[in-house]
Amino acid sequence: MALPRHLISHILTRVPAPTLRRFKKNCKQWGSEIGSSFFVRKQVDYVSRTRYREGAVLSSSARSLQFLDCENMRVELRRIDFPFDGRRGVSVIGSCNGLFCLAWMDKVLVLWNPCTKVCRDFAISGPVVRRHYGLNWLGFGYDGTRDEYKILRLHRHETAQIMEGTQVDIFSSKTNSWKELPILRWEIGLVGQSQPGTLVDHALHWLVEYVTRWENFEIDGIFRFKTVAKAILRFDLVEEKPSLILIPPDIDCRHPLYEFELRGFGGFLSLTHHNEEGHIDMWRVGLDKFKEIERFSAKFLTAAWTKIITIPCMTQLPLNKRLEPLWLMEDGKLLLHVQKIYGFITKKRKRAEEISVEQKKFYVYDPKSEEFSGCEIKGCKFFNRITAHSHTLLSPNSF
Amino acid sequence: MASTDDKVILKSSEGECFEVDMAVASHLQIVKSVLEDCEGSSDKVVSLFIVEAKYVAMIIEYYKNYVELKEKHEEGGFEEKLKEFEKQFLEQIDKKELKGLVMAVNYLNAPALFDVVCTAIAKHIENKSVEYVREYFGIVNDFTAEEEAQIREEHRWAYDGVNDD
Repeated sequence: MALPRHLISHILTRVPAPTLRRFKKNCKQWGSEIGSSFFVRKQVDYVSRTRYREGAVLSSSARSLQFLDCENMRVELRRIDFPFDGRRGVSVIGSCNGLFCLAWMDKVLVLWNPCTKVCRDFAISGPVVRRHYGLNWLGFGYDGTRDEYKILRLHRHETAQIMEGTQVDIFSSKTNSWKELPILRWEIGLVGQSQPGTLVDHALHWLVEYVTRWENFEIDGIFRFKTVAKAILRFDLVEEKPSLILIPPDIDCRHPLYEFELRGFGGFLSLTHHNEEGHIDMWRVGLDKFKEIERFSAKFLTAAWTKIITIPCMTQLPLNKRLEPLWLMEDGKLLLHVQKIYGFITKKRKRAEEISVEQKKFYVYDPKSEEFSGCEIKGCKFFNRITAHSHTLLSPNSF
Repeated sequence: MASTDDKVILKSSEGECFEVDMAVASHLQIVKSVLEDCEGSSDKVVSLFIVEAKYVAMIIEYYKNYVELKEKHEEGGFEEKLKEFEKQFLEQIDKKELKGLVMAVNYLNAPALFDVVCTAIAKHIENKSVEYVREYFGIVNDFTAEEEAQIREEHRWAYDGVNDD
């Protein structure tokens, strides 16, 4: 029985992009269907709407990406093969609709489809990163209402002495240029490593420290001390507007920043909190239920937070290590990896009487049985960045 | 429980009749619109002219479970339970029958099941060779040898990891 063309098209939309390239040679009709921009668009829409076959990509500054295959517990290496010289220094800014946004040597921004190997070099005038005193934060996302890919750059706007606010620049794939947005007058601190923004729901998110209070001290000159609270800076790519989201009220917002992680799992924004006693809470935010409130003399958004998982303390781990969520798997289990903790050690954490010699690098936590099981991921090399990615055939040159 | 008023009879292409709860049948857009067109009529028989009985039975089974699970897990967990059922449901269907099922579901306009069946077919062909996929869909290779060689050259890397069925 032969199926009508429109049904074939619906089925092919659900075939992963790498396989589709092979199916182009089935017959002329399939070849033209899969090659048509209409079909590519349709698949991008389906994949981004349903997060079909979304997977984790692990990266460092090395020139290859590790595509995590949770089913077989291995990684597939894909070399970043755009035509630059072989020096290191490539960093992943983000992934959206099958395209990676990569920065190279802080000078060049590239959109790259690892499936079709097509890349687009943004001829950006001026440096990607503005090297002032502070750090530069980048993020990549898509504005569906204008069919525009956007890159956001945040950096501290500083004059000689006083921190004045955060400079926000936005790069559009349509105009191929940067645009300066009004300076953010909030006293937010972009601290820690310059992490790329977490893309969820056409908005980028960063965990920030918000200065709630300044105090002056006078001991041989004036010193200023600040009191900070944790918040999430959300930047809507459609409205091009920033907002601050309060973290769940159950968590003291004065906890140090290293206790938190922001992730974009399965289409929702999640906040991980590492408790002093060693257990981990994962919260999910309902991005549609914002309410504006006044707090610390600024406007904040409150959100509906739900605790999705509490992971008990892994007592087998040495105190200088902890588990960090890596990926939420299809069966509801959570893949975690062991990370070394630098700079602080919590003494409150429970420990096993005897720590077994054999330590795994990865663990799977099953929330149903509340059990950990150690595992290996074949071929996995060092990584310090996790990006959600879905394969599509979208060409970075098609817009 | 539902009275007989809430039942509808679906008639397959062979003339076989299936009595179904309205709650189940309303998931089939075509049945819904037919019934709306003849509202007030006591005749609650809908003929599904081109759909074979075996497919009618499968579609009813799917939506019966769908409705039941939705009722049972109103508080949450419906999607997870549905996924479990879908897996089980698909296991008992022959791969060749999936094609007939997708045609039937498309005709009846039942979005949830349509997505499930399309995804199942996509998954089935995903790691299959071009030759298998051609046979499965009854596709005739209309490329000349030169054209084929050219495509193969262009996508050489795409031929890894194929298993023949």
